[in-house]
Amino acid sequence: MSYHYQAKTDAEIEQTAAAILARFPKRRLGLAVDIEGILEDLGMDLLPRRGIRPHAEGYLARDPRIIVVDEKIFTYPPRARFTLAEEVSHLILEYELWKGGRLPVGADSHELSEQQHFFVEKDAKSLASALLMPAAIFAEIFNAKRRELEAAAAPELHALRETLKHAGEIFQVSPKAAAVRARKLKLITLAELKRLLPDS
Amino acid sequence: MLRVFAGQIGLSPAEYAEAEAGVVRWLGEEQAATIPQVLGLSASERKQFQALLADARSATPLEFDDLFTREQLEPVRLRHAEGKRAAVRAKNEILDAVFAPLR
Repeated sequence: MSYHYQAKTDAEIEQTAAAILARFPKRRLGLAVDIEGILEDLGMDLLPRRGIRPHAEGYLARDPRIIVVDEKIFTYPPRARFTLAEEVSHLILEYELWKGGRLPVGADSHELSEQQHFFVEKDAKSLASALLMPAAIFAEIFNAKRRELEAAAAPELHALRETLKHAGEIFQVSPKAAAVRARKLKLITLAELKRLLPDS
Repeated sequence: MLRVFAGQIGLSPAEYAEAEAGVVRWLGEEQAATIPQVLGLSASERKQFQALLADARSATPLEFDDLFTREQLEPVRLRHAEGKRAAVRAKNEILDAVFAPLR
C-alpha cells in the first residue's frame, strides 16, 4: 500500500507542539524556545554546509539524527530558528518514515501528490510556528503590547507593526512569522495580515 | 555557542562542523593559537592540547566523504522545494553541493 500522509487539524498541531514543549521545559531562552537545545536533546545534529541554498535552506536527512542546513542561514537567526523548527517538525509529524531502513513506497518527496506535498509542508510550517510561538503566552505578549501602543494613540498599522516586531524579538522569530502566527491565533484579521504582508 | 566559538577561532559554521567531526586540516596555525586563548587553557592544558593536535595532524587525514555517505545525507523532506519535479532534480544537485569539498 502506498504511503499516505494524513493532514493534521489545527488542534492536533497545537496539541503536538504543547506536548513537545512540555517534554523539554528547560529549553527556553527567556520566553523564546531553545529549538537548538531541543534538537540536541532529541539526539539530532546540525550539519552546516555550503551551496544548498539555491534549492533549500535546510533539510532532514535520511539519517534522522542529521539536519543539513546551508551555513548562510545563520546570518539571520530568526529565520534559521524557523528552518530548524520546521525540519524537526517533519521528523515528529512523519516519524514512521525513519523507522525502517528504507522509505515506505510512495513516501519520497517526488512521489507525493501535489496535494500530499502541500499538506506535508503546511503542517511542518504550522508545527514549527506553534513550537516557536506557544499559543497562550504569544497571545498574552501580543495583546499587551498592542493595547499599550493603542493606549498611546499610535496609528493602527504602526501599532500592529511595532507589536509584531516586539513579539518577534521576544520569541526570536521574524516579524513576518509573528504576523502569520497572530493570524492563526485570530489576534489579527485577514485584512490586517494583507495590509502587513501584501504578498501573502 | 558553538558557532560563536567557531567565529572566534576563524572558522565558518561549515568549516567548524568538519573540524569537530575530525577533518583536521581546518586546525591551522591560527586555530592552534586562538583555541587555547579563547578557552583560557592553563599552561599544562595548552601543552596537552598541542600534543593532541600534533597526534591528530600525524594521523591519516580525514575528509568529509570519509565521515558521511550520500545515502545517509539524502534529503527526505526538503524546505523550499518548488514542487515534486524540482525536488527530484534538486536532490542530486543538493548532494553534490553537500559533498563538494569546502574551499
